[in-house]
Amino acid sequence: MSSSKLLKGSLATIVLKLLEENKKMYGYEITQRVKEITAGEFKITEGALYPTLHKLEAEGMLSTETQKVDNRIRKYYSLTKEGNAEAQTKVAELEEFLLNLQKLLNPKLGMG
Amino acid sequence: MSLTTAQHDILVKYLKDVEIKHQEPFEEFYDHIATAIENDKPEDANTFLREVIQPSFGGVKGIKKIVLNQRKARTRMIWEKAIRVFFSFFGWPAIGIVMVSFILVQTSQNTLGSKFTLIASLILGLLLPLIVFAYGSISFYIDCKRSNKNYRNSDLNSSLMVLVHLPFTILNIVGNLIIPMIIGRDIFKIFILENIWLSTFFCAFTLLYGFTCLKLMKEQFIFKLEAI
Repeated sequence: MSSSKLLKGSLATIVLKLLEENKKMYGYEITQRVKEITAGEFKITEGALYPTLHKLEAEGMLSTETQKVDNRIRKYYSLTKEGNAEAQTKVAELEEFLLNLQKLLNPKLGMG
Repeated sequence: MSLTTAQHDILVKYLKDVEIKHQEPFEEFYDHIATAIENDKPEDANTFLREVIQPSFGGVKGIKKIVLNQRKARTRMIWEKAIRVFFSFFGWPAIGIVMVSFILVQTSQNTLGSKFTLIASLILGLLLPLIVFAYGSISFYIDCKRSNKNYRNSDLNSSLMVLVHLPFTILNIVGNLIIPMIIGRDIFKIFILENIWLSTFFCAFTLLYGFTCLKLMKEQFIFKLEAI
């Protein structure tokens, strides 16, 4: 299975975590930040990122603001109060899931 | 580094080709793709768009799906907000608006007659928001044209259009199709004019719907392009 398929289920958590750390980001910046952190191992496609951003915005997890940059309008996303709480919950859930997955795939490491 | 004029033209043409015609998706896609072009510095912007950008959005179908889903989400957000605004009239101190509406409708029915009250309520509650909306949409269109923008409408306008226009559609269907077919127009007229509480409730509801639309437009509807 390609890493992009594994990544898809965790995309909302990744977006929330990045926004928690960076206050406000725009779409392209998020894709580049993920590429940079994972040294190009993970690549978020725009086709997956924007529906996730728009869904989180509709759910009230993200708020948006626009700024004029280089003579064009840039839309920045940032966490709302609910989004901040959701980010912490989602990250904790994913960490626990990864820990359990680790125990299943590599029991020796999990025991340690 | 900004886009060259040629790159800008290619990008605008591409966005028009994939039918992105509204402000919000146009600005977001334009900025994303323009930033990608500036960073990747492709020799041929056209090939870059078709071979790199387009596949990463899931092709033309993917782009259209993103735009459509965002529009649906925005419409849903506006309706949810409209419902919250409508019910906020029943809390303190906004309940005063509801009480004043009922008193005004009742007084008008006693002094000016049910027919006049009904027509006045429809004008104030339904027609006034539509006029304000039409003014806003036309102003937006003119602003876009003057600023030479590549769009003439916004998703927000389209979503609000549904909200403002819906009562007219319902009245049309009910008044011209359902009532004449089921009970007859004349009988209904007598029924609504004689049942003063029913017409009072209908008039007050219409006024509150109008207040909701106007409040929503004041809060969320950005008529003019913001210079940031």
